[in-house]
Amino acid sequence: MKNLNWIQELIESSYVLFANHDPKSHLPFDAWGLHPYYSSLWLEKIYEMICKFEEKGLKIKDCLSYFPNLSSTRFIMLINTIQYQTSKMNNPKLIAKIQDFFVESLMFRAKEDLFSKEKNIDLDDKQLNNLLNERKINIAGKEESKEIGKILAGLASLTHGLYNDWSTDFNYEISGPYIKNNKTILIRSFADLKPIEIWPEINWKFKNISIITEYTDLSAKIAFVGCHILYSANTVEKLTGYNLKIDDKEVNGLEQLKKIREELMSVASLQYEKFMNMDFEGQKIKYVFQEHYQLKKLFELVGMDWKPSSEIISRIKDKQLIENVFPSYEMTIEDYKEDFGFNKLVKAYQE
Amino acid sequence: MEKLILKGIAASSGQATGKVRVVQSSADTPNFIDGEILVTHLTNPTMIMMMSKASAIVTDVGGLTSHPAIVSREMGTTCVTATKIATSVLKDGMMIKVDGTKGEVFLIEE
Repeated sequence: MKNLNWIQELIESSYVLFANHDPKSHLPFDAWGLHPYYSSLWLEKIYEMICKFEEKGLKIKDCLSYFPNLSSTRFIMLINTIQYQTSKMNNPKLIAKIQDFFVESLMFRAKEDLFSKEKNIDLDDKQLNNLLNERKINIAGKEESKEIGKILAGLASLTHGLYNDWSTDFNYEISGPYIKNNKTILIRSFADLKPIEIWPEINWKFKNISIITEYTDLSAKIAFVGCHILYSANTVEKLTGYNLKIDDKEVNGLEQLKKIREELMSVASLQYEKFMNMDFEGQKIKYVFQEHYQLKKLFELVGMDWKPSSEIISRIKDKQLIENVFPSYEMTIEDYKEDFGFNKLVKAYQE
Repeated sequence: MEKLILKGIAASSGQATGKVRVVQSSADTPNFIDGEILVTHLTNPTMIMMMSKASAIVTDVGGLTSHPAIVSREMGTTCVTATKIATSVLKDGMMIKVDGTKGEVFLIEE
């Protein structure tokens, strides 16, 4: 019999995600109100991809680099569950196959805490040591610490502009916390800052930025997805070291950090403004493109077109958001399991 | 003298005192002065330059994982979200103290 303990872990970890969130603060819009129009087609497309994957004899453990990062994979699994519920689909084999596919990829990659109740660990000790040997930690003085904080804020904001609030994790991953020599280490990755397939007009040069930060007297807790990290203290005050890499180049020194911060804040602001200036029809289409882009590598691996189909686009065209799909996140875990589709997911495995 | 005027979610720890600047959109960026306290309904990425200059951020809505909360924590900036009425109660130029550890906002009266 299949081990389904992971479902309970998914429920408990993702419940905290909602407990910390406010439905009135969803940006750019409340996408729960959009999903019911098209998400049955989206789930069918993912199912088709997985079937082709298996037909080709591919193995998940050999194709891990085609999956989104750990946080993004978790979030996709959560959204799959909810979309299966709100689209009112009834295809247990479909949803079980989809979730099995993604959870298996997590099991190969997450070293512990599969659904990040507290941590997001994808490196073992040896891998971490190798990384830290390869990337020297620079001392962070007071001014460097402020700049690093602003750079991270700029990168988070740029990610929102490129991927909205719902596909954020695809580009914003935090691995950790790791404890080494009494210091807390976090590894932040912004792996695709130039998705020209979604935003063809992008004109900045950088594509991939990663920052290793080292803190003293600070603990951190990652609640389900990396970008929802919580800290025990002020990160700027407790930062002692950093390593910043932009594409293949390491960057350090206060003046360089200031230049990067200025550029990032400027492009972040302009990018989001671009999105906000789109009309609602344009924003909805961009949303489904952003959602599909997360699985582009997997779709292309099996020879499918990753872009939203014309049928998906027509399903959302001229539609207003359905209101109050989830008006409040104040709920017991039993309500959460029922309303957000977890009971239906469990039932799918029992059929 | 301090008077508690708002309560919300303690989204990013610390304390800061300064003058209120109520902000509607990124169009307010040129007028935002370093060290002012940014007060708005909900921040978004177009406000990032103002957020980076603010000594604290106070919003009407938003949980622990909303945009103002996430960005404030990364910058080490004090933040209180979900006050419900910050933009109604606070006016430009008011002197306030923001306690992001307790989720409280105080009016500083002369």
